Amino acid sequence: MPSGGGTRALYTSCMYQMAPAMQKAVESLEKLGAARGGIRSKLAAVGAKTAGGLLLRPGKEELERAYKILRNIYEILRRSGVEFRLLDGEPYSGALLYELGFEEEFAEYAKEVYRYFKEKGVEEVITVDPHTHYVLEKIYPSYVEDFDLEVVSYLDLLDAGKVKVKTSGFTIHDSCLYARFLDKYQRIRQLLAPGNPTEDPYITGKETAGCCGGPVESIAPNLATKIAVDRAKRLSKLSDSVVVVCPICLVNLSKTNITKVYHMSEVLGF
Amino acid sequence: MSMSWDVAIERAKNAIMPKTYDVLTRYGYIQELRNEVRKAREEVLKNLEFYIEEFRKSVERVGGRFYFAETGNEAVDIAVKIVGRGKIVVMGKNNVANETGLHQRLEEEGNEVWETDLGAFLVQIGDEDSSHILAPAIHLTCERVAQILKEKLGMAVPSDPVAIAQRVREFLREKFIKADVGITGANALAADTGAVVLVENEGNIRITTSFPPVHIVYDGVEKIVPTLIHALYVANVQAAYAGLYPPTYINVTAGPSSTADIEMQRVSPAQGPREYHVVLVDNGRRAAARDPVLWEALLCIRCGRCHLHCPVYWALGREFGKPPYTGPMGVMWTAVTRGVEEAGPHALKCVHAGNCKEVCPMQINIPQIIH
Repeated sequence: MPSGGGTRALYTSCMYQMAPAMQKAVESLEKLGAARGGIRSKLAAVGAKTAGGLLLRPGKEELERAYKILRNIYEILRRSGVEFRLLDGEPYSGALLYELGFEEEFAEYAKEVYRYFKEKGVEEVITVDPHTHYVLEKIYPSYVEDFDLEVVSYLDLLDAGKVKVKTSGFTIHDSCLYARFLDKYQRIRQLLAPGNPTEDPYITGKETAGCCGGPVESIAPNLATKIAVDRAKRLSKLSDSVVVVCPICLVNLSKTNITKVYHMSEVLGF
Repeated sequence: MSMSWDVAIERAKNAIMPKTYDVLTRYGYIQELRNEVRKAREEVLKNLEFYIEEFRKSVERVGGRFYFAETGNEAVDIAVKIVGRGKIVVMGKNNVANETGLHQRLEEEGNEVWETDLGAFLVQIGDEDSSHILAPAIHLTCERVAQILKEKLGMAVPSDPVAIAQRVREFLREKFIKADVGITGANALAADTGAVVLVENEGNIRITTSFPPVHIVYDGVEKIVPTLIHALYVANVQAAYAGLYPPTYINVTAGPSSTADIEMQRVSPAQGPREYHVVLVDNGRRAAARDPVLWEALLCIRCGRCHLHCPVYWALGREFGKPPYTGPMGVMWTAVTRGVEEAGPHALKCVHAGNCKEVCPMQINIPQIIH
């Protein structure tokens, strides 16, 4: 894909590419005893995560879909008139280290990631998933001295007047981070409004919607599955297709096989 | 949790969530009150020793006896000493009594002890752990309640909430009449007056605080607010965020019963209790108040709303946290009362959905504290 110049860069943090692999890692974790919970499972999570980098790769189809989602995001940004460059060999943000409570390791890692951006001359980062956005905007400044990157979500750069919604009748599953920590609940609805999503105040409300279970899948896979199934069942009362905005939600709700799950970029176009 | 839990929590959510939103929309002034409550409670937590002392002086000024317990065991010992042996004790729902094991210890000392809140009574009869800070029997469907009453008390009751409430009312009425001691918690404790404010709907607290000759208030130091007006605010805000507003009753007790009907001289006792005791419990709270993160947990007013919006609680029920402190607030409070080590495994189950933070009347950053 053509890359522009300048100091503004699109940053995937490899989230969409990695999310399917995480599902496989969870299956390994269950064998390692993570389902029993507690500190042991936390260690198992890290062990499997490390091993996962070597042993687990997403399937070809899953990887293709991840790239397609990213290409779609790239395309709708360009068509919205947004200029940015692409990065070679971009690193993962380290969000999982923070979420699992490995603060020292995270602090060290975050400094390296920041240095990477500085060396590349990046001043502004366009994020494409909630976990990366949250960790860069809300957490990095507390762990990286003099952190000065501008962090902007692609959601806020899309031209809502030009973007079209290619389907209708779906419902929305919000990312917890976007909806309740990053104030994107209304913005997502603004972008998806032309598709007349089916909503219910007690199923898709900002305060009432549930999680996909993703954040605990590496620590308590059984709990993650139960949460995902509960969520998918509630959403299926509204529609047989669900639009999500997060790679983790995409994987976790898809694996329930209760409802069809689409990433927002798959239903947006020009 | 079981299939029965899934049914019970779904019914509870469907019943109370819309009511809570309706209350908060209809009575807009609750928003102002909750901000006042947060300010007042922050003030107390920053000056906790001062307000404990103010409260002590006020309790004694109105003719009450004040006790301070650093640990749960100390608190139980104090209450047991006041109650004595061979008494009939009626209790209002009291999470600190549960936290410190008071009920069991009173029974071990040869007392007959009855929970009088319907939910707490069902948990007692069923020999179960409570599962929600405000509705301890939320895990029981009405079918299961009818079954428990049949099995444990031989009561033949249809699985209908109205019939169940009526039958338990009849059962407990005799206990109230014979009770020697009534023990309650507190929604708020007023530092300026020594008053305890309690909000309820059943009427059991009203009877527990006025019918037996001895009333013991047994609750945590964080319940202190500067004035009686603040205490009334707390009661109203708690009821509103629990979806139960207006509450049927708000009770104020400030000392033993008294009368000023003869020559306008206030004398005690009159129709209500002759003794008013307040056992103020620390059990980790003062240390938490000094913690740069955990202190905010002490602002919780126990409305139980966070439970009903939490996907982990929906999935796990009382296994998320340590009863009586379950759900999002319960994970924080397990840390306050039992330490971070014991809360840790529960904290790891948190998905950081953030719903709890959104619906908390005290705007406590619960996910941050749990993290």
